[in-house]
Amino acid sequence: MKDKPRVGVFKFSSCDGCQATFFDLPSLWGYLDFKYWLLGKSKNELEVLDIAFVEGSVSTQEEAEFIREIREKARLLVTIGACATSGGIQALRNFGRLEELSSVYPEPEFIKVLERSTPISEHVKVDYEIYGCPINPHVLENFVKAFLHDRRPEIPSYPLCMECKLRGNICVMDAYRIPCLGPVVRAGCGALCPSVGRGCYGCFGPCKGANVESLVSWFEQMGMSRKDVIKLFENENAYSEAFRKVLEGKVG
Amino acid sequence: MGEVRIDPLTRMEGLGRLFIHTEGEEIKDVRLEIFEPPRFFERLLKGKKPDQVIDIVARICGLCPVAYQLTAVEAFESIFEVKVPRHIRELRRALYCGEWVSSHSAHIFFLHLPDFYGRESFLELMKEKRELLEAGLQLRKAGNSIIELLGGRHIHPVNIRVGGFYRIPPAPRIENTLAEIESALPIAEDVLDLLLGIDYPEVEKERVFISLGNYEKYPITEGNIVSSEGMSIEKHEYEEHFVEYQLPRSTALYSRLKDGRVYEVGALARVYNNFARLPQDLKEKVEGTLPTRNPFKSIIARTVEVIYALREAKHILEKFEGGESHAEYSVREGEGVGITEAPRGILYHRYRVNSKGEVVFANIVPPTSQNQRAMEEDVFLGLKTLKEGDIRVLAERLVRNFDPCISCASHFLEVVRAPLRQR
Repeated sequence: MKDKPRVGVFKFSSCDGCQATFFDLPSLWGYLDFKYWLLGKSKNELEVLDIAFVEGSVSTQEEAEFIREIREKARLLVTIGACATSGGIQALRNFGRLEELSSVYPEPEFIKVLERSTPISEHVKVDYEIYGCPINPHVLENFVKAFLHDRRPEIPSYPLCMECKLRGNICVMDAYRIPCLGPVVRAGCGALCPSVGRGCYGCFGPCKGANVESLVSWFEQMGMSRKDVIKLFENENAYSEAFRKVLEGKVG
Repeated sequence: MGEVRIDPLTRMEGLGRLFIHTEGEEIKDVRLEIFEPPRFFERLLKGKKPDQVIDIVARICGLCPVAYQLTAVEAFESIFEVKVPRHIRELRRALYCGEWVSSHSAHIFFLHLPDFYGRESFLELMKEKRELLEAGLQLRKAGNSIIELLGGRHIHPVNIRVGGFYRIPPAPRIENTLAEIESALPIAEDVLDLLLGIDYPEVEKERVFISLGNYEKYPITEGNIVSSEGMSIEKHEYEEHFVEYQLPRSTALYSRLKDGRVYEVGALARVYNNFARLPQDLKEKVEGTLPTRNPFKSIIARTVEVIYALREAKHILEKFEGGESHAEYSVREGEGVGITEAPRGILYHRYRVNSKGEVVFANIVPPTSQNQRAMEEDVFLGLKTLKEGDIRVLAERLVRNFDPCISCASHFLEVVRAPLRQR
């Protein structure tokens, strides 16, 4: 096993939920040397790191500069969560029209943000992406253990339907005509939504080879309006490449 | 004029920094700067339907998503006049208790406690007080377990909808969670004993404490808005009594009482205003310590609430006999507010929806933005009163006492675009 890797946990535009997962993983504390983690520690030094875990999307110029600095220091850069991998729920603003989004705020000059909220991979090279809103702690734990043992990390790339079947759920779309994103969404949460009788809404983003066109035509055959289909994709991963097409009206 | 900068603040959720202006030995001014980038939630919610709003607002905070979801639910249910059955209201209370336990435990053990032992992190503290961190882990796990039982997962639950839940958990799962609560309770009581035995810096603040209150039970979602000065108003009157305002240094709006006074929300305020509603044995145990105006003792107030919340969740789950998962309702045009006690204090939502049930207006006031001015005042007072040790350490502790959640605070602005070329 490797020596304690030097790690940093970094926050960009986000809710803190993904990095809070480290609180729930005591099995890892003894194996990692946290050099930088503002939420967890008071002494933080941005030095050479073996792994940089990055939560959050880039939405200010400062953030765009900081991620480059982190990239220079980190041997491996791993994004954790939907914000970092696809821009997050805040990336819904990327689809707004400029004139519509002009200032309605009392003193707009105080606030400076970039035009879009973007995933880390639009700015620097990302070595691994851990998906989810929030990430599944077991996937993170598994990732670190794989790193320590020089194994290849297992990050699911297959669709949520697989997990749903394994849980023995009845398909909510087949049986109840509840629209579900399961066929195009990455597994990882354990099929939580279908397990409580509702459709998947996409926390883990598109799976590998997601056939969004086919699913959209299924929704249309179910009688859903264009607007309602788009609404389904207005989620935490709306700005991912596969889902973005739907919001931009390029599918269906 | 000298300046002490604490940049960035650590062991707090979200990104902020603190400036202290001094003249010789004297503290002249304290400024908290919140530079967390805003995520513009109120704008994103426009056009969304209530059940989607409930999923989206969870994303405001990874530490207290249930608070956001249940506050939104309350607002929508008041608009649609949903008759929510008693068993659902009770289960929601248990769910909310789970979040108090989970969120408070994270702050008490991982963020706050190292201050009282002079350590820079829980990881350092772990080396000498392993059993204490183990206790924290077990408490947080019990809280998470309650949220997972009723919400599906503890960060961003998936089981909450207008009218109730998507699914009511099966009995055997309830039993499992009850067992976890049972084993957590004595641990929490031991932690309280320990915290009652340690030394706290002596500071007493003058402050208007605002919370829910005037209710038969310790308030979580029920009651009026009350103050330590005797005010009691209905929830829908919130915006008539509190004013939000903007300062250039912060991406979060400030808040004050209409007469200009600064106020504070959170565990310290809740305990202060509702001490009589705590169980007798807990009151006796903390007598002479709580209620208090000493900000450092907020850690005791949170621990008392952890015990209360564990007991309350246990009580509710034990007597739960099943029932419908949700009440049916029809959508209609209207406006409604929700106010609940998030772990960090009162959280306010107001929505207006059209006849299709789509949100046309949203206003959200999170607890930490309400506390911004109070945090600055506490640092000012604390540094003046306690002239000991490193000013930077002390100042950061005085902010940390609030358990600020800066990620929440900064997200409530309308969209403003400042493209790169304009910088």
